Amino acid sequence: MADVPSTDRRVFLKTSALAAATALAQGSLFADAPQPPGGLELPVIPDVTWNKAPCRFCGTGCHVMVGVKNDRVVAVTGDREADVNKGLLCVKGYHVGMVLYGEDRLRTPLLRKDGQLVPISWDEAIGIIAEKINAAPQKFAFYGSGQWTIPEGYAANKFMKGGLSNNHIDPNARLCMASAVTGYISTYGVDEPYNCYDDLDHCDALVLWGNNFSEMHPVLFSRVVDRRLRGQKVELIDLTTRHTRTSQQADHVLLMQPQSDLAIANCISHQLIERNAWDRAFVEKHCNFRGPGTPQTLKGEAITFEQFKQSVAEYTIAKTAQISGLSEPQLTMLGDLFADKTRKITSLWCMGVNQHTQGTAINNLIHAIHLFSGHFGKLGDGPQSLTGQPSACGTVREVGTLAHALPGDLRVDDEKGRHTAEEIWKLPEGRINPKPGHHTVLMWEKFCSPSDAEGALDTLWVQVTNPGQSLPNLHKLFDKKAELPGKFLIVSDVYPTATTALADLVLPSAMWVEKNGIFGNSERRTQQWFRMVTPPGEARDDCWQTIAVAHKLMEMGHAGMQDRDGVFLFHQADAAGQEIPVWDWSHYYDTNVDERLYEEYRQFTTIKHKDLAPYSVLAEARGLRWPVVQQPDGSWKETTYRFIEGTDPYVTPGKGIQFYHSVTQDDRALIWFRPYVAPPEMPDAEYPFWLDTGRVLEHWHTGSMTMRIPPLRRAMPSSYVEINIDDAKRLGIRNGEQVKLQTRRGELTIAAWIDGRGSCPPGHLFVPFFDERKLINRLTLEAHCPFSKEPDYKKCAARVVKGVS
Amino acid sequence: MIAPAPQRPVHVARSMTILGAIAIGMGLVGFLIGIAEPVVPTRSVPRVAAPTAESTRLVPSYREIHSGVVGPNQSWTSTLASLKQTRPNLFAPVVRTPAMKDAALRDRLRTRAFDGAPPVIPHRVEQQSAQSCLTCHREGMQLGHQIATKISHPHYANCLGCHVEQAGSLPIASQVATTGQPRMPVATEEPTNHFSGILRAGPGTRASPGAPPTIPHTIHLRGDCLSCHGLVARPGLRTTHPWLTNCVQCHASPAESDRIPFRPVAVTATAVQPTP
Repeated sequence: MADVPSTDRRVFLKTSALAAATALAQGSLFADAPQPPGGLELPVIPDVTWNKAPCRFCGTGCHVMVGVKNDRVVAVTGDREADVNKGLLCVKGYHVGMVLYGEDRLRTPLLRKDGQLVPISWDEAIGIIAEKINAAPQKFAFYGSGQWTIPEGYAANKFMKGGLSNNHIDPNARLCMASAVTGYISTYGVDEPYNCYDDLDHCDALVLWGNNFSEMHPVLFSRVVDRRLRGQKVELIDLTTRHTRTSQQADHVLLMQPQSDLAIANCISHQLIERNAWDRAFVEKHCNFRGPGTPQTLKGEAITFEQFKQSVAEYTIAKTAQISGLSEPQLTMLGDLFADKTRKITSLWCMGVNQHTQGTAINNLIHAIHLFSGHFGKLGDGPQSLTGQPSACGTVREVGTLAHALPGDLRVDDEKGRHTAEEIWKLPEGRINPKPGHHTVLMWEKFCSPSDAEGALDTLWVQVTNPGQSLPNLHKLFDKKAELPGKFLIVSDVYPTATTALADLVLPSAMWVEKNGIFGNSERRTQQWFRMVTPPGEARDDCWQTIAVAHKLMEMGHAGMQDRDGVFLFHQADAAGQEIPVWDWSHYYDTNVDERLYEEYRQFTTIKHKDLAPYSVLAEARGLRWPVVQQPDGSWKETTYRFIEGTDPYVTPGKGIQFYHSVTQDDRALIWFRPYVAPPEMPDAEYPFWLDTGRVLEHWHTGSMTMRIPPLRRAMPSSYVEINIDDAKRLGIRNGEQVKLQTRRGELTIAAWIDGRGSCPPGHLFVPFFDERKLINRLTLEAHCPFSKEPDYKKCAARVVKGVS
Repeated sequence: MIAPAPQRPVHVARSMTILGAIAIGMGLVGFLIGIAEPVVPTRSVPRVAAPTAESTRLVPSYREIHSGVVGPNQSWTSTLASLKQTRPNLFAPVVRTPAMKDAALRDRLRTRAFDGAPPVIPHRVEQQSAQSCLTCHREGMQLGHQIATKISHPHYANCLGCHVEQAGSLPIASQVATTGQPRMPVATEEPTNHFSGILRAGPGTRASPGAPPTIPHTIHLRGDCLSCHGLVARPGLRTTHPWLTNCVQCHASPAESDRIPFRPVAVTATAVQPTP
């Protein structure tokens, strides 16, 4: 519009109105609506075949039915027989089929030559990667994600830890749910929720801890609020730092100060003691108390009830009101709620709790108030964490694609764990490196350090994620790569991203139903799907890429790519015992590599009672929740609630509730005390605002997929900064005006939105991170939880500058 | 006999005079104000606001924000005649030609990426609650030629989880219109996507000429036939016999994707509820 000649206002108005009317008459307001090719007769498309798959996006794990015709996805519908979503999807899920067909899909390997990415052959690309790794195997790192399928993550993990004796493998899930992991392990001795989504159908009260449930897990949110339409009463309690779409449906919106969740949780415990309303019988039978130790550690130290009582006594209603900004009646209401044994309370949390410099601590405390009040282990009554990626649980937490982990909840720094893995992988003793590798933040710090610096990494391979947009403090952890010589970044992806912008080698990947896959969702549900359409151009499976590089390394003489019998790590043979060359793409689908890797991986899953169903059983189901245990009649039964007699077959009969992986090895869970600790960076005179970042309904994470889906992009075309109306007035900022946000790490010019999708309280800002043109993570802080190493994207100090032309 | 009029005390009479003077004075002031410039702002066309005064003004208050943007829907033309609403008559003859039907189906596709995708919202959304959606969409509403279709799945309460607007509430677009400057030109970029979905499920089949046609489309989330086929619906899709309400008694056989080709695993799936 800038080049519109200076028309006067009236003409301008007239033209605009006319244009709008014309657009309307032509029906072109929705220009991309499928236009039937000529004539009034609309084409009828018969012969669509339908098959099941989990949705590509979030950790909810909805099942979709995918309609395919002529090797193309033509429709997607909610799977009526899926327990998770019962036929419903969210707007992203309904349009998930469109992720395959963005104009700029990567179709051929690209190598950077003289600053330009130029097409090369796959052979050349695989050769280059193998050479880079072979030159310095310990200066190589693999960065993956919770979007890896289980077989992909398993292959990568085995390749690194079992092949290269290199533990520098970590996923972007470190940025997402690592604190939930440390929270579960330090509370119950074993990771992942004991409960499942069934709680949502039965709870009387739902407490949302810093979780914009309505936009982040819309289908699960529907599962709760739709109950109200059936005449059921569900009280929604929204503990939040800003007013969101979730708050609109909440009965209580408790606007708290950032980080004060720690104090609030302790205050609830304190009130339970004051009222003598804690569940003495449950606690005495099933729990031990735990204190943080000095200084705080992940394992903490045993404390008595008296010590626990004294520790939480500090968090009186008056003091907590001061820290949290909640009113005393609001805090009392929370005390009343947990003191009420007749009500079933479900607590949910996601990024607000996990992306937290005290992430492990607040996870511990939410479990603690449920255990302490006895709101635990009954249908609809318990704490449950949610994840953001489709296989954060399946591929990261269970397969152990973390710098310290091995599949089946084993650890590299545990001799027995290494030995077990070496046995299953048939490796010579001592192959697995006992030293944990670099976690995500450290990995990127080391990649962005000069080659001669201690522990520096020179070659980094990224699969299925977009760290160039999602890492915190991007200038320090990503952008710096551009200035450093000798750094080689390999990126396997489906579209150009902020990460491929700095990549030296780009590999085009097959995605979702272009390949076989298995995901594991938030409620321990393992979900399988088959390849349904051919990937575009030369795009190939990520899993194949890993195997091909491993094989090339073996050809180059890298001994680690063979087991102790001299057999290739990813060796597959046909029924006649003849080797299938799966490293050769033309033979990759001669067998179901997914099934073979999965069945190998299954051996690990029984170690910590996380037994997975056989592939053939999984293929018939809409996902099954582990442990999946074979019954006397030969059938396989999933487990809805772990540790609970009657549902979990591993509970000793008569025990009722048994935490059989207990930290204290006495079948008890731990009730933690963790103190309130102030955040590392808080608003001050120079940077007076709190800056919070997060997501919106329409876009999934960095938007590399959803921003290419027209209906989603139109609904939320660009990022924005949410600012309170009083702050905007004070600063003279108008709705939609471009302002400059600044933190100590970077700045960003972005449009202000006042009372739009959400509303911040005064002194707070919120910016979604989906928009690659508005990299808010250049401003965020990389400070992280000392135990989970998960950074805090939710709190840092910022200022707003008006007057951007 | 006429009773003598009661004598009014002098002070009452005097105060009456004063009150009268005040009343006349106020009337005069009111009249003068009345004939002055009206202070009530006229409603502007949404998203096309006056560039000059607007662009120098500070941030609007809550009330201003809403009065500025809440207006008729994009595709709304308000003439008094078109607002006239007739009560739907169950027994009025329904005229429905093949051309009308095709036009209706085309119109449906304007807001859908494929047949089966949730329709996008063809107007702006100011209120995000389900209640505000249902104000018009609970029973369906027709004003002139504009139709707010009746919700076909009233057991769902999270409307904006599936249906999203396309004009966008983000103020950026309106800023472009207001200032004449593309503040964020990228916001209007359209991504190219080569997805090409099912456009139409039907038509249904008839066992014999005159027999009721089968239902050609899925009925999942389309539990209320009247949403598309009722009297408050696109004319080309309306039923010719709205007084018969048990649709599936005669129209059978929903589409294939309602009959799931996969059966769940034959083993026990869930069942046992945990005991306390």
